[in-house]
Amino acid sequence: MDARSQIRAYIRSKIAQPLEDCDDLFDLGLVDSLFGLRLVSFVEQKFGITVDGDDLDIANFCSIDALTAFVTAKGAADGRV
Amino acid sequence: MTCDLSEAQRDASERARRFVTEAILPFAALIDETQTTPQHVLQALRANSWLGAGLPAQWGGGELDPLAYGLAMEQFGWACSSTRTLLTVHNMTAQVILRFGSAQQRERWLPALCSGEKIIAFALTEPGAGSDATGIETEAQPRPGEYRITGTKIWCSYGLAADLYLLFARCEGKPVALLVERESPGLSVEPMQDVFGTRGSMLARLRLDGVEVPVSHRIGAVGAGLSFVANVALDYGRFAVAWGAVGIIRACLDTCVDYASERHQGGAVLAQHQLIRRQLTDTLLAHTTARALCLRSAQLRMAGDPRAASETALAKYHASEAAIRVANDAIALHGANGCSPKFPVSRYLRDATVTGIVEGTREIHQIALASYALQRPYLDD
Repeated sequence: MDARSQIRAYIRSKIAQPLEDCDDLFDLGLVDSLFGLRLVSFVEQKFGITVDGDDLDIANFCSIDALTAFVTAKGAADGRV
Repeated sequence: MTCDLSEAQRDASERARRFVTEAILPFAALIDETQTTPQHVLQALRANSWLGAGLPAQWGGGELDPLAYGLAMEQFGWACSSTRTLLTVHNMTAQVILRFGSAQQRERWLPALCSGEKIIAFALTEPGAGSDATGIETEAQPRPGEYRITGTKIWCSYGLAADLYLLFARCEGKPVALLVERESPGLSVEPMQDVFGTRGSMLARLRLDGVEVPVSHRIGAVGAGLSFVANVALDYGRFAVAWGAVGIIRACLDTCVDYASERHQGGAVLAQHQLIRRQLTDTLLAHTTARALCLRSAQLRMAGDPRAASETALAKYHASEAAIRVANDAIALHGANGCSPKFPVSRYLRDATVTGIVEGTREIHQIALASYALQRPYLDD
């Protein structure tokens, strides 16, 4: 599975409502404090990247689109994705 | 739950037990009574490298893995919850600098935090913002090259002893995390006393009147202060609080077993009375279950499992509730002696109560963990 498919599958398995890739998880109130931490751990574990201080921007985590772009760019920088 | 400990993990637990037995436990009642942590205790923590216990050796820390660190927190919780609170706050906040700080921030602060030369505290809560951290009103006004901070923080554990604060403010409507030095002009640090539990945790109220902080002291982007920076720190904190609560349960169990084995009533030692026996069984069960959840949480953290934060919250919720119930029962088992300062059980109850509030109240955990339950996490086992 590509990065987008893995991210989509993970988030859809955790959120019990229809979701488009562009939907803003934060604006929709779907990310509480614990789920936010799970998202960070998920992308670190699944894609072998390390989220650092410069990455701590809601814009990187707010949607399936955003997460896909983030892990792709981060992975490319690290030579992983 | 069984768990094979590595030699390093077993060593951390045993070292912590020896240390707290010699250097902390003899002063635990005094720390509670005088509402402060004596300098000689702080010095002993530094000299024995406990302040940086959970941080990497690269920076001078003790490099304890999550399980070893949790086992150490269990021992500190057994001896003195106030002192355990210092280690909790210091480590959880230093972990944020380690994980999300810039290279410059790490090089500047981590060696001093690992050695204990400097103490760091966590400044989030405000008079009008507790469980709802999004309600913080402390303002960080952006100016060229710096922020100008104005506001008030309360319930800052070990704020009186701290040299540095990780402080959360609102910047043009968005949350931001900033490192604020104790000596900053415009910052005043005042004691908050006569609290119910963990009375030696040197609580402070911080008043910030135009405190100027360079932009280089910001951690993460503006907007990410709460969702990521604060929550990562609180996650570390919950883990330590959960283990500390297990330590309180263990202390109650030790005390109750001793008392029930020695105290005679109705022609027999208490341990022969059926209702006392039931209580001892329930206390043992509470200890076993709370510890099992903490062990599971530690193992998930070590594996980098995405469930770790939620399972840590589950462990903290259960362990703190169990500690409160067990400590309350321990007082009852001791009868009138349970209300006497000559016995530690009333301190255990007061300290246990605090574990049910800090790093997220019972009610916040009940709400948040329901969302986790709805995701059917048990299917991932």
